[in-house]
Amino acid sequence: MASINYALKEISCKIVYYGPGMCGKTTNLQHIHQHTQPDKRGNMVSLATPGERTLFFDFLPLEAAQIHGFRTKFQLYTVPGQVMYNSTRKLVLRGVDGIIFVCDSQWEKMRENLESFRNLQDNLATYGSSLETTPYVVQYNKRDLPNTAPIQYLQYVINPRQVAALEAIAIQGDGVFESLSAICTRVLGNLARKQKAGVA
Amino acid sequence: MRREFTAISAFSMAISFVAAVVLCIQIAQVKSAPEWQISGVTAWVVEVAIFGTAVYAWRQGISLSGWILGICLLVFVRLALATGAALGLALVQNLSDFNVALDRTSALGPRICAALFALMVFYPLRLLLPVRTYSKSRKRRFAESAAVGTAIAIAGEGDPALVLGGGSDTIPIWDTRPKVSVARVEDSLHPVVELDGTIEVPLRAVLAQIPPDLIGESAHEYDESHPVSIPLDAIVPQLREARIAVRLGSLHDWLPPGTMHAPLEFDVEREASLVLLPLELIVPQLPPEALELPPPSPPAWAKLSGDTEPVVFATI
Repeated sequence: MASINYALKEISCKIVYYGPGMCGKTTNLQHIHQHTQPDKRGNMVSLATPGERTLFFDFLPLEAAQIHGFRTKFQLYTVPGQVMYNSTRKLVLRGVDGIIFVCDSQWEKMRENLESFRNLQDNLATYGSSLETTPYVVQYNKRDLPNTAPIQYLQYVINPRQVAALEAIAIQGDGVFESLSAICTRVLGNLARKQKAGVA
Repeated sequence: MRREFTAISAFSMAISFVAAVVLCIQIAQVKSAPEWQISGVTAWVVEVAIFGTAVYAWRQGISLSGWILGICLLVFVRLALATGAALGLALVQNLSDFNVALDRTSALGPRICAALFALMVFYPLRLLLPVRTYSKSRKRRFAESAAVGTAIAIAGEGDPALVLGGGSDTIPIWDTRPKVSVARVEDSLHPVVELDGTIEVPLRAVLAQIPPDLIGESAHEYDESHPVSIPLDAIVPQLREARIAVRLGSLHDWLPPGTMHAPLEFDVEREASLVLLPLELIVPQLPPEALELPPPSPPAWAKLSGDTEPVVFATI
């Protein structure tokens, strides 16, 4: 859950990268870690198997530029994409403020994308939350591969709500910061909206 | 609640300092004050202990260097107060020997007064003391964060092997607990589209999905790119599922004669088993209206107000 410290003028939010296995969640985080000024980020914590599969989660603390005089800090997490690690995914989702749903654009991954998206909704529901109340953006990753589905079909399957969706090639860094900025902007906007409404 | 260090803070410090000096002088002038005996070393040890406790309590997450700096600052303020009081006393009483004045202001009464006021003077300065370095404080936040601190503990309960190594949190195949079912908004967002017509899929791509024992002898007589017509009404309702699955029985009707053995009529299970057709060959042929979505109706959080500033990160 986002926290606002008015005394220190500091906002802290939790962002989770969600998606099927091998879709590029950790690659997103690695790019962010490598291309952010060292004084604006912490160390990246990654618990992976020898095959570079995320076993538990990845974690990266990050600080953005000041907004309205407030320091904005984001805690970035990834979930393990493999189907079997669902209880870990649930745990990582607890208290989430914003989600980047990373899709693998390849045809053969379409079904996995959808199943992961539905799994996200199910896991949010266990916390009494949903995508109606939790900001998220969709990142269509691996757009450089030859066997990718067209965006129109990806949108049809994964994003019929038509929330913000971005194309990415995470391994080259394309669309990585754009996706992060998009979700962070929406998370802060949602926070401001809740503050105005007296919800938060 | 901590506040920023402001001009008012500096002013209050100055006032406290002056008040402390005046009070110390007054106390030092009281002849009837009891002269309790306490050694200078013991007094300083007690004072430093009080100062150390105060600094630690007032500045949460303070670093070791910040803590030491805070104690040093307090001692400095305390010494400045004692010196100021001694100077004042020497002036007030026209004492030629400054050491005499210093001895009198070092008695227990002025000493307690100076220590207490040193704390008051120092109080606004605590905000300037450095807290723990980022990595350490981050580790603390990391440990306290929703997904880690308790997550690891809970994960350890639910999946001890995962935390201890070598295991997984796989749901066992015999686990028949009902899965969470969510009424998904997405299901209602796809419009019902009824389209007539067919699309064509190469015979090779279809045969690749059929169990080999069902492929007929005539299959090799057809060119691999021979088109197989699949009705759109069998495809479009499945598009939202990210897969096109057809029953073996239906597929038999669409394929050229002799290319596939009909599943045995009594083998109902096999007749009903599903064959996945290649999405990548089907979707590009679909008419645009098949993938049309209704106008977006974004959730409340997705509506950005005009004054929303985009979040920017310091990249290299």
